[in-house]
Amino acid sequence: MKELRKKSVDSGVNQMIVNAYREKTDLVWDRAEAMQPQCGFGRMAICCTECMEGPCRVNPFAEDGAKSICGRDQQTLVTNYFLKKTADGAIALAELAEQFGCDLNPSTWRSISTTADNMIPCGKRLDEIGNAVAATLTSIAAAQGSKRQALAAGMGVLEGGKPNIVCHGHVPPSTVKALVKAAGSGAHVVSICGNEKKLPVVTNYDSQETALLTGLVDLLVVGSQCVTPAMIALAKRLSIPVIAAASLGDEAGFGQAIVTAQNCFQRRAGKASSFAADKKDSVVGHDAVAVSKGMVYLGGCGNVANTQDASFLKTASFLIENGFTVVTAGCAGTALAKAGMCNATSVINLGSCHDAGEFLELANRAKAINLPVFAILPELTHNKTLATAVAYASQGIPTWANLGEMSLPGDLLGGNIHAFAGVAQLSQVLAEVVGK
Amino acid sequence: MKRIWVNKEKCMGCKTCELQCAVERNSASRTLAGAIHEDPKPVARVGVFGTTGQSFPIQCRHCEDGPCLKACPSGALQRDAESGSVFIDQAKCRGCWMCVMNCAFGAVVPSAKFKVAIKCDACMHMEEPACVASCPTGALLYGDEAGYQKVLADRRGRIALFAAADPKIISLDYVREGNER
Repeated sequence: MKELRKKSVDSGVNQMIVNAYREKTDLVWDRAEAMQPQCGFGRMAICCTECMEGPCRVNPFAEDGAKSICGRDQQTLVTNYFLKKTADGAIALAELAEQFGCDLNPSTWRSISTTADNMIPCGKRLDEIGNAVAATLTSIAAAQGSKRQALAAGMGVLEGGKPNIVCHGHVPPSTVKALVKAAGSGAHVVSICGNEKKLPVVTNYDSQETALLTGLVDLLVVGSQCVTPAMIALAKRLSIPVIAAASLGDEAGFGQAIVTAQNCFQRRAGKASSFAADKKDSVVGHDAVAVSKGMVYLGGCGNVANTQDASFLKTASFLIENGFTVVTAGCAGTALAKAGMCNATSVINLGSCHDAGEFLELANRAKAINLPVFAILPELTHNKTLATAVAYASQGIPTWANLGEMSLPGDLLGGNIHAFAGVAQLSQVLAEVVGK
Repeated sequence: MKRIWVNKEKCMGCKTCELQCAVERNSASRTLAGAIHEDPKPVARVGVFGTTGQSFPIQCRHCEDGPCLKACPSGALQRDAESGSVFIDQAKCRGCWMCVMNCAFGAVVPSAKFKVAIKCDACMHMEEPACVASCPTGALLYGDEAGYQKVLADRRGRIALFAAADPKIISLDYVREGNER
């Protein structure tokens, strides 16, 4: 990990990091530092714990090409690891699709939910998973719609004079709707990961703990995925009530949740808060899309090793300067929204990362008029984002994803998946795409 | 004298050496599954430091003019005449931590529970040190100066071949700027 002078581009996040340092609260950055140095076998994905004869790891310095007990070489280990991760992300997205009431085809489920104990990984499986994820994402997009709406972004969306309820993790839309209805004017409902399409967004994945440190969160409603164990532990330490979205149940349950938030608010009401972060106006969704030179999907979660949001902002600025329409979603989208970039017509924020399916439709429209279409994921953390990249590549969209130190064989997914090494590579990527 | 040598280019930062040292040299059970439940927790005498991608293991260098040896007021720190390794006679250690403070490598650590210092003794009574035996990439070597020189010469030979293939490379530490030559 590089030594970071600046942990985040977001000034609100940086303000909270300073507070955390003074209060000796460990955040994700401190834990990442304590983890150094990180194991090279894992980084290169050349270790395997799949069977009980393992664990195996192959020595990359071996002269004669070391193999695992079952005979996997370095390349096979990496491919297998990538396949497993993609399958895991595909299942995560399928579970979210069910939350949105989508009825997934049994064959979709079958193709993603098992790797069938197959020991010889082949590119065909990856194509199957890619197609299944594309179908899953498309069904989520159809269920969600793409209505254009204004939703603010940034730490400033937390209100000082009102109880704040934060929905974190992918909370089902029906739950969000019922919660907002129950809250009425008595509480303010905002979001972190996974609900960007419906609620104002506080911050994105890596800085989730800093939202709690503002002292302005009165209730945490947690959905599935993306909620770190550290987040729950910190909420407990700060006496912030945590409720699982699935346990809210009926109307009485929602009413009780609002009362819990209001009670928590009573304790801090009247106390001065040292927190003063701003928020940016932002637009989620789209109606008419004007594409000039081409269309690019900018996604990903961020990575603690780099300054938070920096790679997304740099990539987006570069693409906009070059006349491309940037379609974004998830934590990358939140990064742009927090920086006030989701106001312009050149940026379309689809909402959450599970809304990435809308890009497939937009891409088809752009392709129909012969405009170049591609995807860049400068920093990935979660498997579902990786699965999204694989889905795009399987649909013939050239996709550049930051796969860390994994080196994949070039022929996977029709040669549409490429390693993204950093913003310095951007002009080369553009040349390749426009050249086609 | 036989020493533990480090080829830091081969260190993957997996910390297998740390685990093996703690289990082999500081646990009662001598098994990983048993060691993790012991109290006090077994301590490794080798540590993997540095940053991701630039990690290296470090243990006692058994300095020829060891500052820990000089600092020890109780005579607990001694040099083994046969192997040349510096070790601690823990029965004599009073826990004053003079050795801890004097070690330039941070290779001597206090055991809070037993109030004695802990350090690497190069597994002098074993065939091969635990860390060397456990290293999966061969980043740790055990041998005398001549053995190490052989490894070094081999490595330099490779660098020469490497450099011949690319005129910009002069050594692994220096790459010629631009196209000058």
